[in-house]
Amino acid sequence: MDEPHDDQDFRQPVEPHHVTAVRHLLGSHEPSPRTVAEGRARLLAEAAATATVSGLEPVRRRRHGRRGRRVGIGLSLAAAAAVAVLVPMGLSGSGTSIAPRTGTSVPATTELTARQVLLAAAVAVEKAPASGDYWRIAMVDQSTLTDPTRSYVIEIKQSREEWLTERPGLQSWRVRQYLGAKPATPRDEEAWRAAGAPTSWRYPEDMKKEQFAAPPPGESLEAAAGERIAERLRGRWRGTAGDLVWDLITWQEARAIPGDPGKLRTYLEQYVRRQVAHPDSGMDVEKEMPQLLRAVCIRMITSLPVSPEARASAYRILASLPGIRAEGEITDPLGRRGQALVYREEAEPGLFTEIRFVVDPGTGLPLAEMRTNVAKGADGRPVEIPSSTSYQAIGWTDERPEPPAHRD
Amino acid sequence: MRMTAPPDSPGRLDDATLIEQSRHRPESFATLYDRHFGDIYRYVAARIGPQAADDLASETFLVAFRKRDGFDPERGAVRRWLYGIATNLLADHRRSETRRLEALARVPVDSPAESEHADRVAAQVTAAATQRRLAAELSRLPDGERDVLLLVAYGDLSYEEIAQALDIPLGTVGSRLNRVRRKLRAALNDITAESGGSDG
Repeated sequence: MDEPHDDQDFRQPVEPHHVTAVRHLLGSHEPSPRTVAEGRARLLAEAAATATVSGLEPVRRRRHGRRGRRVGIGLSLAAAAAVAVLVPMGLSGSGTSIAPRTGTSVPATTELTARQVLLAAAVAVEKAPASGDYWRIAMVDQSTLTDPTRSYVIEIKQSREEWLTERPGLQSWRVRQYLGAKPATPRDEEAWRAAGAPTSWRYPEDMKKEQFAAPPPGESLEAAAGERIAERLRGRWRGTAGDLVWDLITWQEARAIPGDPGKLRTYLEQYVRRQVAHPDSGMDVEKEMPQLLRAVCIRMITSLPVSPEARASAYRILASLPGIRAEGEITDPLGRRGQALVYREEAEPGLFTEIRFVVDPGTGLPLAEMRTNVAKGADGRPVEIPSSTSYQAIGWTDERPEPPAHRD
Repeated sequence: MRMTAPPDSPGRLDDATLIEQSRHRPESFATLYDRHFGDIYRYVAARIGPQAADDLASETFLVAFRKRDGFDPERGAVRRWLYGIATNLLADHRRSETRRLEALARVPVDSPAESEHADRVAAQVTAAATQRRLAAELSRLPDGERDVLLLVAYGDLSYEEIAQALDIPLGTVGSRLNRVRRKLRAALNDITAESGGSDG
């Protein structure tokens, strides 16, 4: 798995001369004055038509203070993220851990191998309901970052729900809520108090690049939680059954995913090759196939409305892959006990992220994905930056999403 | 730039405030149009060509206007939101985008003027061949990878902003760009030196 160290700046995945070449090829076309005027006229006509109606509508306005705009960004990304922003130090044991290790190992009464955990999960998940009105996933993302002065660690939480349906007359929803930010540990809280107990943080541009959970420039990170926000899925998301790592897939495609382990493996390998492989890509897809298969299997298990058989087969494929080891029973970020399976992911050449995939072998459901990334602390020493996604529900339901506080 | 401005000078209000204002004063939205139309147009025109861009760029603002109640400042700036809408609309034009790229991949090498020095001629031929390889590569990119690349190239958006604009996980943006980088490196590989300095 160890590739030679790459000289490229990890935060700059597209090289400037590539951008230049692309721009050179595709050109920079300016709109003609006529185009600009026509577009503006279309917009004003629409606005005029709306203005006459809007007086009759109850005003449903949101009050977001200009200064206190809340930022819930980045959190949904807790899972896969941090790729771009970390200093490539690798996960050395010497790293100072300034954040809590939510998943502390405890001696397990019965030591299970990774294979046993995965096969047990496969058997259990096969019994899950195979249909319902909605395919529902509910999760909590947690991520951490240092404050702008790098003196203490802030923990941010966000909840997300996806309610996907293909039933006519039902609407697919995505619901999210920013749950707020606070000092991560008592020690961090002390440092935070010493700093005057701020409830809002602003980050300089250079830190934004390095700490992926930092808000974009001009916006601040807020301590206070936000409202519950529900949005109808539209655009490319309308009518999809979720995404399989690289691409959105349709309900039809989700149903067509084979349940038989052998067929599923062939199907997924072909999918991966189609998505990733390219003669000039410089990537040895066949060599990286185990990692790529692991990623798609985990995605299938954690989020896609595939048949229980297909989900079980995804576990069976995982059980056959190298590089996953059991770490015994741990507590996930929501305080639940589960079996931890640990593997490393090469986020960028030479840069590894350690991931604990926590599974409840009894139900076959994943409880959490806990990631440890390494970033640079104030003193230049590596610090571990944990992030996680904890799953509260994955499966079919006939329930309806709770009416949102506001929707769009 | 965010600053305190008299309420009646829309030119100086920030984008999010203008959207808020456009809920009861729809014409405020025109200020957003004036600010961002050029950017959106250049992005769209790069992808589907100037002719189709006339319509799609203006459509982007109509869609944005209709959805303005759904604009959520928690999810990033207006600019990102507009790029997201434009990219969504472009999804219906995948075929014309691919056709355009395939056509660019077939553009014949201009026969250089006779007086030109042989080295120059050679360089031009190489550059043209590279352009064709790049176009072919772009036409073969999966849609998602092309989206992120062109948002970087034309929208000048960061990872985070692209993730918000496309409503995809940050990690997906990272892995897509990583793959794009590898592919482009392979496609542009041998002429890195020549293409480095020119700006189109």
